[in-house]
Amino acid sequence: MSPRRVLVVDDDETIGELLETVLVDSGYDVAVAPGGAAALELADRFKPHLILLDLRMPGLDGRGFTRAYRKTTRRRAPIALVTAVRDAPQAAAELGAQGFLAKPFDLGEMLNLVARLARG
Amino acid sequence: MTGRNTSRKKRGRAVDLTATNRRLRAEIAERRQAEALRDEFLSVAAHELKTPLTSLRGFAQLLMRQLDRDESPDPVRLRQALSAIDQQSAKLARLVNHLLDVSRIEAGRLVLDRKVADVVGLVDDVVATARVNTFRHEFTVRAPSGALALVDPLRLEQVIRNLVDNAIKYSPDGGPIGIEVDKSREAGVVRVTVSDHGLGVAPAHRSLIFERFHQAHSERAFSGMGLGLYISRQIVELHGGRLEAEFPDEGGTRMIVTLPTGGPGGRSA
Repeated sequence: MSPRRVLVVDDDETIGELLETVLVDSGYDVAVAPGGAAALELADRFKPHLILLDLRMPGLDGRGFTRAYRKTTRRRAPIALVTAVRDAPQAAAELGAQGFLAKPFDLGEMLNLVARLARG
Repeated sequence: MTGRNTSRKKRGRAVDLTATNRRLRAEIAERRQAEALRDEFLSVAAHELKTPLTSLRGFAQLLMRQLDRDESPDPVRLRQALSAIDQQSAKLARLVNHLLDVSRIEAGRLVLDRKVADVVGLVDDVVATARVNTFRHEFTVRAPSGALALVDPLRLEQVIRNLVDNAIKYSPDGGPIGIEVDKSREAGVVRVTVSDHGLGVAPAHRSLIFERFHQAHSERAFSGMGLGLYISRQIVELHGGRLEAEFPDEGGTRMIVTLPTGGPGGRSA
């Protein structure tokens, strides 16, 4: 089976790098976008099985990305919110996300979530 | 006669009560607004603190996972992780220092440690660091060979660094940043001007940029807690100087620090 593809969307370069390193180590194919607009473009080409999405980003933020992605994409990947906002579960519910991780997250928890949601 | 007096008194009391009610309602509204601002600030501050914490925790766990698998650490990976931990802990320390500064200012406990220092040297140090951290911005420094002033060098450097960092941050597409030190305009005064050609500040936000917790570009979710300019202005005013912003027609922002070279009430250095 070809590796599952995960799209990481985060404006914090270090967090993007961290997620990419750990996910690649665990056998995923990973693309990183620094914001919503770049993520939309990348999602179209990369066709991810899962999107790990930050909420607060300059330009097109997590909410804007989700709206645009759902409008423009037919075979949509599940979205897991990875956020430092105060109430991550509520933010995820409002967005209709399939999962969430509250920053600062545990790497083991992150990998469990990705394994569960990127199954397809 | 007595009845008329009583009803006049009652009317007077009713007017008093209406005025008191109006005042109380205004006070309650003001207090609610202050609470809402504080709430918003706490949520932004928590977000800002959690971001470097995520990297710190993540890269530490990454190294531990490697050790747990009995793998000898790959030097490149080890360097990447340690460098991230180092940079993110410095970022966290900066954020915490901002919070501590605000708390000191509120309590009137921000004290300057003044000594004669060269303002041009401080500007050069800040610009040298900034040049290392960005390749997209071009810095031009116009300054005399030296400009001595009786200042707290660490605090003044903090102010100049804040202004230069803002110029970089709010010129996201890069571009020129000019820093000018001028001691010739007025005797006993040195001016430091930091100009960028970036996003500028929308007219509605201009009167608020030095307010505590205010973020001029919160809609674009730039990182930060909205404390930098507030702290900078307080530091400059403690020196007996002024920090002002100008918004040229051609765009961008110009921040001007005007400092007495001898400190408030002191003699010229």
